Amino acid sequence: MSEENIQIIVHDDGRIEFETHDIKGEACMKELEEILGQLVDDLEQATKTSEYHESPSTRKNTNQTKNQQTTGSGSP
Amino acid sequence: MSTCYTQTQLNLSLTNVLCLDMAISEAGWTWNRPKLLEEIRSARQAVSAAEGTQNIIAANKSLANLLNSLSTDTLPQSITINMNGSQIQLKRSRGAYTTMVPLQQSGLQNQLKQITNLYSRNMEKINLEIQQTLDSLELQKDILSAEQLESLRGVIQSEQQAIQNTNQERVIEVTKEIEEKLVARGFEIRKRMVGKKIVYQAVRR
Repeated sequence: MSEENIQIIVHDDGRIEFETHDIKGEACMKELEEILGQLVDDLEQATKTSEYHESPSTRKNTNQTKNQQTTGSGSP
Repeated sequence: MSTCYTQTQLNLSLTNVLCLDMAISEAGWTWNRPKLLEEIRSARQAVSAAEGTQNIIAANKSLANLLNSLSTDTLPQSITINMNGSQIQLKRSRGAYTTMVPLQQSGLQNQLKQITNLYSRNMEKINLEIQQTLDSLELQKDILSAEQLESLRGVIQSEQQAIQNTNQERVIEVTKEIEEKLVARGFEIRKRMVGKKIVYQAVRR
């Protein structure tokens, strides 16, 4: 059974970085929205890699997302 | 492992009002600046204008006390920035100032990005100045009296403390929410410190 992984780094100045692994396609974004949507602005502007656009059948079951947080425009 | 998508951060969290004030002023905009910031501004001018060792020491102590208040006073829950005729309100949420701007309002979004960029640059500037002042004090320790050194260090350390405290508040709010949400969504969390960073490794089977 596959594992879904998220690594979140909180810097001492409040910035947030994250990476996800093994969360498929749009589910990856949805998961991040649920967990970090209130904390990270412009989540929807994350750069999707080719892996994100693969169909679930061809995807290697490994996805990764990387982000750092910004405040000032976007989520409340 | 392969990658789903990536995003990189452009700016810092807007936690510190002193730095936010610098950013807004640099952009040429105004805001409902808290009274404490006005007092700090006056106190800085008083330090520059002070003559004679004892007056300088007294002015520095007064400035240090006001900077200390930045760490202890309650910050405004909302602020309003006037940008070339348009106004935007930012609310304090999870230790930082933030707002919601519809995607269609690209002009407003760009103005906010400008503030966060200036904030980021000013925060770097403040941190650099703090370090440079501390270094210069070290070099002057044989020239200045103990009382002079103490008063100057007091100013710098108070400013440093104010930044650290607001950032700390943000970190506490953010980590609490992250932990709660990860657990609620069925993730097992492993938390560790790497230098000054808190690293969460969350796994869901």
